[in-house]
Amino acid sequence: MPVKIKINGREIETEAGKTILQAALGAGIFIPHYCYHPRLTIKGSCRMCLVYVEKTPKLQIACATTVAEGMVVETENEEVVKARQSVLEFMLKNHPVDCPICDKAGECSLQDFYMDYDGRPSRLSPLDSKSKKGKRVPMGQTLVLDQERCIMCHRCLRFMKEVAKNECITDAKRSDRTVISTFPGELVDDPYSMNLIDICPVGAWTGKDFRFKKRTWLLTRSSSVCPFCARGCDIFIDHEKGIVYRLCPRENEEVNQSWICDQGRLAYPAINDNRLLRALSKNDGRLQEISVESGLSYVAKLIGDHQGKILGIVSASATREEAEAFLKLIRASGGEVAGNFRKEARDDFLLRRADRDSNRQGLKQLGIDRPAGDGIVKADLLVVLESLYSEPINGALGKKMAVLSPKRSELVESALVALPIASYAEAEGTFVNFEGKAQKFFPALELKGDAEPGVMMIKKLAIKLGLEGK
Amino acid sequence: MNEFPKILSANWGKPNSAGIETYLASGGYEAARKALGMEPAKVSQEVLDAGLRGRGGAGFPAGRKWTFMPKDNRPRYLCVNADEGEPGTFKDRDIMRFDPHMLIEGIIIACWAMQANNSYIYIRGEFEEPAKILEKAIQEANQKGFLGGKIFGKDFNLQVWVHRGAGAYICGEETSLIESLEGKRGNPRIRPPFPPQKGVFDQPTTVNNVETIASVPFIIREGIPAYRKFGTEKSPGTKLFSVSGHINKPGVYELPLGYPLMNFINEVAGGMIAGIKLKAVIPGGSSTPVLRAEECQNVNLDYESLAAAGSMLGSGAVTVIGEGTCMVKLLEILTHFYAHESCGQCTPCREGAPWAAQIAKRIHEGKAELNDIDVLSSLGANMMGRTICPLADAAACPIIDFPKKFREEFEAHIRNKGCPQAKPFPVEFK
Repeated sequence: MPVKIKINGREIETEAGKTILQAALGAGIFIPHYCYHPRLTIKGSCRMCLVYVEKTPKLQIACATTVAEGMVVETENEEVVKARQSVLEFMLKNHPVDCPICDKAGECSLQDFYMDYDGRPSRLSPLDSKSKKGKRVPMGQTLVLDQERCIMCHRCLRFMKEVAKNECITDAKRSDRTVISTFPGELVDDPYSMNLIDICPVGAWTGKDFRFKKRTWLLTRSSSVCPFCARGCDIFIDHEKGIVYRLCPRENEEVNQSWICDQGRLAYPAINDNRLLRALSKNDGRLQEISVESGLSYVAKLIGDHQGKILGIVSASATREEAEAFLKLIRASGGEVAGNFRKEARDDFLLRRADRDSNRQGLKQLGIDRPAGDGIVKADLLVVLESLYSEPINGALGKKMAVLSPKRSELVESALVALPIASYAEAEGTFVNFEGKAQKFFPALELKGDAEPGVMMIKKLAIKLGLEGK
Repeated sequence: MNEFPKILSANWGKPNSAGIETYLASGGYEAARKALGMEPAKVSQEVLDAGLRGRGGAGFPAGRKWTFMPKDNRPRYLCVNADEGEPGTFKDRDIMRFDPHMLIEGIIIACWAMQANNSYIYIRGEFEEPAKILEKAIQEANQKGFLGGKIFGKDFNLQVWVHRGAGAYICGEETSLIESLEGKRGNPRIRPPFPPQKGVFDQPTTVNNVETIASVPFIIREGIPAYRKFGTEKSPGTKLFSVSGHINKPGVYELPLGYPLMNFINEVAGGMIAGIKLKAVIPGGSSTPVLRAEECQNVNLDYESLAAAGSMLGSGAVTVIGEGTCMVKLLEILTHFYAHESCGQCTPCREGAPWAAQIAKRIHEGKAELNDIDVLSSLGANMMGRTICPLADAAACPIIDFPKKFREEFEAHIRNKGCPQAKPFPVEFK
């Protein structure tokens, strides 16, 4: 049922049952908040979103006050501004303000809101002390907690309880001694633990992986899709000068909401390390760097020499575009194409899929749904298209093999010739997830070394083979 | 004392006053029998018409609170709030120690009115003795058939349990009491939903103070006019007052509401200790605004008169403060209490109360400047009305009032670089 309310004199139409905060955000009116998170239950304790509601004796929290027809709300009047300033002052009373050594600096809501809504000098007397708490509490394999930076918004507690369904942390002690803590002797051991870093509005939860590695404002943020399983979570790739420093979830209601799993998040080093940067060919049993042009000629010659006895194997985590071009090339050369699938894991209740390939459905749509199997034995030449996380192929080692790969893999090591291609982070392409949702992504990074996008490399091969246009 | 009517304390002082025989001899459980012969709604109406108001502090009409319970098929609960933790308040303890059956009978009547089959008495963890007495009384009532199944031949079951708290003041706030009862940390819940919609185990729940419930049997047994004979039009009946501080006879007294405060101090409670002059009174527990001696003169002990004087009846805990008391020290003690007891959820309370405690301590120690008094007052103003539960309001009260009403004392501390008095209190308590 539609409801009309007025915020700062502007009439807004919203839905019955919505809160003032939801209505305001929906209309593009920002009300600062800490404990509110759209995917978690309402806590109502940070008191940052206090607003004036006509005909109520005191300020109301916008996050927990439902709209009513004709409601008149002020979010910027003097009373509200003062209340907001005082909440920030209270938050900063015990906050260490150690921004220079804080990983969150640059993307911290406390910094942002202080600059936007307060900006006054501290009234804390040097004679009054700040509360002393754990400064670097190890909370498990992935996390470190700074209890002094915590503003007690309880987002982490609600995330673990409501989303991760693993109530392994709690608030302990009282008053300004309150800390977030695990139960005695226990640690946060959860496949989704690192989402706490993202939802923490301040620098209380930090990741062991990213800690002290990079100031956030130096990072460039590019949108992408996680290639680590069939979910295809939407992610951000945060990078500087061609090096990726972290992956973060990118909101998509239909795919991953606001979350990603730790495994996918921590898979990024493969983008930085052990990449295939030059074309290689085997000479006297050893791989030697050659030009891409020579490599292309070599592969074309091999394909030409083995017409009709070729097996193409494409990684199910290659993009749909790569798979399509590859299929076309191999078929035109009289060969067959099989898939290379990663070993299955297990579905979980939230995001992770047993199918750990990002584009198995895409391959299926092209008719590639079987692994190579016996075909390897019968084929005289294997042409393999790898992806960043593809696994070695059983029975392939020792065969005559041409490999297109983004990484210096086991297959590359035993190939006659290898051509460097871009990973998902440097290419444009599409993954089709387990539900059949096709998600297109664009390059986050510049191409590395002599690598070219897989589609481009295949196209050049086709030209060499005189197949282009056929 | 003899001139005053005794409703709640009628049996106190009798031999074995906590035993069921003593209670039965005084007409005990007749009210419950009578109530179960009435329509439940009629019982709520009687209590509403008698004008019984919540004795825990807020003073909300008890009968009306009961009618908030939804009429659906969910199980309903009555929680009796026996988490008496407010500094200066010790009235419920004596009800449970000296006449636990009056409380149990009140529970039977209230549960019948609300058609609740389960009642929890959430008792302060430190109340070990009252808890044991209550347990025994419940056992006796069970044996007599006043609790359990088919009470008074009616198709009505009732179980009463005693649940001991773990030592947190905040658990006297009704929603954190509910959280604690469920086995969780006692953080107050955001309202709505209110307990009648979603209380204990998410079921309809009413939370009443011990004294409120203990007042019910008299109303049912003797009728509305008998109850309204005492007290005032808007504050009928009697109330227990726990008086402490610089007074000759500290303790618990039952008085009709509307009794003059000064008469209570000077006559009933034996006057000021060692003949010192009255300086101030905190009339309803540490969460209520302080009154200077001159503000106390024409004040009566009822909801309206104290509200008119700018304070509250609260829990009826009268803290008497004698001349020679350092109000800065007193503020330090009070703020220290709230700083310790804030649950730590809401920002203004979690940070404001300990900050105020630090400043109050510094002012008393002479390590403060004039500006600190203003910072202190502003902290109170910024806490007031800005949190989920009223603990911050309670903490903010003295933080705002003390520097306002005793400004000269605060300034003297700063000029003098410390407390101008040799001792903060005129009398040493053992």
